[in-house]
Amino acid sequence: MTREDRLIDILGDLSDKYVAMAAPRSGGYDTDTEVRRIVFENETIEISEADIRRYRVFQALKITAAAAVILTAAGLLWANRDNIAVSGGEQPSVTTGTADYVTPGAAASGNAQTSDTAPDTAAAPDTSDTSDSNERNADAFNPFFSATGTEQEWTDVDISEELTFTVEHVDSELRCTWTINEGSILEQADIDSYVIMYSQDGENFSELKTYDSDTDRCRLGIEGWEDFPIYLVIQCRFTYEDTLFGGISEKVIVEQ
Amino acid sequence: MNDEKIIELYFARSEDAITETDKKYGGYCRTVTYNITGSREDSEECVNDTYMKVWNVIPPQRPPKLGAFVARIARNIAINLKRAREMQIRSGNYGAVRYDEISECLPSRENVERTADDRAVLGAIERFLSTLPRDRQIMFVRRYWYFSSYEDIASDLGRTEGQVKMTLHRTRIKLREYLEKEGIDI
Repeated sequence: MTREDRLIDILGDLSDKYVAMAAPRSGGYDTDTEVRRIVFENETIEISEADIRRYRVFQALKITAAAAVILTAAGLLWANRDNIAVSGGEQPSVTTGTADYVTPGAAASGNAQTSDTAPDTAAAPDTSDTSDSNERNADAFNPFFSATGTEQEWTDVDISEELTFTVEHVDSELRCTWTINEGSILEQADIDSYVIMYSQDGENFSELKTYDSDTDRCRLGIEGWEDFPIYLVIQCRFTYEDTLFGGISEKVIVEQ
Repeated sequence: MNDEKIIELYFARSEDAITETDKKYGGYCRTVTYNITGSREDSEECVNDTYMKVWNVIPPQRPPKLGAFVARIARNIAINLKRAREMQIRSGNYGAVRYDEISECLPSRENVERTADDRAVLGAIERFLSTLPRDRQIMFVRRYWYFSSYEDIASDLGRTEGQVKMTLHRTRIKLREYLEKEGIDI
């Protein structure tokens, strides 16, 4: 008897409690499964003229309030349009080389930058290979709530138990390293790539740079950077049992 | 009809007992046997054998949960049928040698020891299951007792297939660690 057969037999004696609890709700091909019908009792509800008036007033108030919120938001955006452009220019830029050096700023190369606020990236010059990821960066998304990438569909999962992501703040750079934990599902998975992502509010993350599956570290240049904290995660894109996953690491907060 | 009444029919040796069992648990049994055999014909055969077995064991037995009792019998019959089918294929590959014949030569003492070991393993697995949240318990039992597909589990639990795969993978790792901690080797 193989180990598999033995386990099958052992589990066959699992207590009724678990067997009954996990009974399938669907499946198989039979349609004779017992159906428990829910009986609804009719209830008559009378709507008075006063109810209708209250409903109309409430609807009108809701529409007015929504319009006010939209107009206020539009006004605030317009009033702060200059600041918004500057803020975009301060996004971390990305560079890579043999040392996988990444610098805040270039990820937003499509955004307007002003000369007095753009970080000095001289120490970490941009390289041309950032263009692909920069295009994707235009669509910032929240990795914790979005299960859809811009190129492929994947199942979003938390891999904080599978992968250790650390960030060391040294002078004007952040040294990121990531390691697959022993016994992790990632050891058996086919890893496609790693994506460094950052956020300033801890919720809306933007992609910074995509790395090959054999990369395990990178550096972010943050010289001149003033907007702290910075939130960083790494997304591991991998295939396991024919399913594509976008695994998100634990969120690392970088203070000044 | 409730379970108690169905069991009373068995005790009264009324054939309506089987009709009522089939009405209430036929679909359930077919799901279990079909998950294992993957064949409608085999599944039907298993379900019929299940009713026969239930008929033979009630009375004297009076199962507290008839559904689980019937499903367990259906599962065992389906597994035995599947193994017999596989044995036929293997026997075909190795001429006329039947390894199940020679397995009868194993000393019964080993069987006794194995049974005791199996109980210890089962006890450990049940203790482990009791530490899990309910949805993980269901996933585990659905996969390894009912042999349900990831797709079916995901559909019933309102999850994605990926989430089910990932959760079960983590559960297996934790189970292995738990069994090792308990000193159990399978």
